[in-house]
Amino acid sequence: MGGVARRIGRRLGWLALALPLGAQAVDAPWRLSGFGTLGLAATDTREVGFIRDLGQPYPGVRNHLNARPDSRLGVQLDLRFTETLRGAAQVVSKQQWDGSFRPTLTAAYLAYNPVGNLEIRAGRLGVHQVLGTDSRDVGYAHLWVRPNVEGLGFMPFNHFDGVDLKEDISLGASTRLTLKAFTGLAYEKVPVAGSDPIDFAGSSVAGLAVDLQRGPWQARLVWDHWRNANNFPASIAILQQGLQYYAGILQDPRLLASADAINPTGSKADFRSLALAYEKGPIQFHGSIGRLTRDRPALPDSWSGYLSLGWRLGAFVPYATFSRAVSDRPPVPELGAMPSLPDPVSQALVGGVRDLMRAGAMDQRTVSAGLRWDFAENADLKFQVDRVSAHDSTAGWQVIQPGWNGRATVFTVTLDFIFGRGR
Amino acid sequence: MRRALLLPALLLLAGLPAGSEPQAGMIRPGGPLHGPSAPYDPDALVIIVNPASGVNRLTQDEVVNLFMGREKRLPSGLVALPVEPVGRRELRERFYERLVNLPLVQVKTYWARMYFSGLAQPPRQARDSEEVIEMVLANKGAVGFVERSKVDARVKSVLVLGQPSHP
Repeated sequence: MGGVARRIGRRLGWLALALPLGAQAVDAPWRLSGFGTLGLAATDTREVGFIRDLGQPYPGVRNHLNARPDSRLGVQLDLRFTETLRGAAQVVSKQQWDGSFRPTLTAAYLAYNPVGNLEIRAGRLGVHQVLGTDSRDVGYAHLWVRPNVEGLGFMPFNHFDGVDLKEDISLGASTRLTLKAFTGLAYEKVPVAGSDPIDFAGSSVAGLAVDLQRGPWQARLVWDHWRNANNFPASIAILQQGLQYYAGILQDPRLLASADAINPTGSKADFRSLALAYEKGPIQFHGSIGRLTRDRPALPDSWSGYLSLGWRLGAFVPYATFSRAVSDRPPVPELGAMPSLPDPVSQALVGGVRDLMRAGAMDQRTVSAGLRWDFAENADLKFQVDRVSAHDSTAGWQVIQPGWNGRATVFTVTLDFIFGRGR
Repeated sequence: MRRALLLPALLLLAGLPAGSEPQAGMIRPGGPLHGPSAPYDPDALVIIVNPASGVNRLTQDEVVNLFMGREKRLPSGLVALPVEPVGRRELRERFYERLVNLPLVQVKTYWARMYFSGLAQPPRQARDSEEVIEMVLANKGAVGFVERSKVDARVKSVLVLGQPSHP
């Protein structure tokens, strides 16, 4: 933990030397800027590990201070070639699926504005999801210490290589319609405790987003779709082969159905959501509801959403959030006892299917209270307490110990900052 | 005779003060941009553009869209170049309070979201009002805001942001 903080501190110190604020030429055709968060989190239990999204590894945050999950540092270079052609690259150092802080390229694209407000981008881009998720690594940009875990933590990837289009249209006075569409290939990985990671390389993603802005109100409708390539951990393939093998021997259709139900290759998922935001004067309201559907019966569909209200009092914004994620009951019944199979085989098959179904299910709610303090021009300090109740291993949790009562409190402090001439 | 008429007409089109014709380029206490009932507001901010921008008036909604990165072009079709004086904090606070009823820090978090996700580009940065005027003079598509007292005949005024109309 201290090592991470020291490393981040060293990088920051180097950047501060290299980028004295305001020293760049005014209106330069390039702009170097960045963002960062130093975060400390701890829970009140050692029976479960807290993670902020699926990309984070074992063991997660437990009952001692951990700086890894929320700390990050990003640097962005913007170039303006002509009035209508620009480019940008962004590198972020944050905890990877393998636990390292290896910097990764999170954006690298060219953007062209051929006519009106139409902008076409090509390269490495962010997935358009619920409001604000394209900037989920930028703590300063948001009210909370981290993106909502129930509302967003289950998204297996946030970036892709491809193209997107954006058009902005006026619908009469003070009403704006923004349309976004994207398509491309995913490349991120999701760690699996005790196994190889799930590699989304080659999985195709596409989506549409419609934003309506009227005065202080903003609404966003999103439809994201993805199709998984065959890059899943060997353990799933072995389980699948086992089920198929014994289905042939025992002529048991339940085993064959289970083998199909867990087959990830070529599986599809859709996420549809509606988000609403209101920002005026001191008030900051955000809410969203989303529906995740998947075409494999072993991976249940689910609802997720959150409501958040903040109230600015000068430099302070107290806020409260309620969020919930819940899966439908799995449509595939769990395999019952297999008396005709030897015990170890039966346990491996039945247990394997059950674990996989549980890993894809969510049932948790969180009530959070926090305070944002804008103590400096380009920095804030936040303190947040989350009270979580969970019934399954879900988006916010890794490696649940037997006997966990499903309740935990997460305490987090973050220092967020931005630098350079991006604001 | 015709030539004699042409010059004032051109000046009028360019938004420069010419004759007594009421038009957007003129800023006077109780002048045409205020209406008879609006009291004189010494803190008013004036939105200015380049005389060659092809723009004579902007509505408050159009200025919101330009400064919040939602509109890339001026009504005349030129690529817009919004400019703000980063060295004048109190001016920016007043501007965003009157424009979108948001504290400046809220506008900054908005831009952190938009800019670091590459969805929009924030206004260009000038040091002070004098530099805003210089940038407006140097770029046909530039649009800036300055105090009323800084407005001069070289730039065209297209909107006055007076006291916020909202409570």
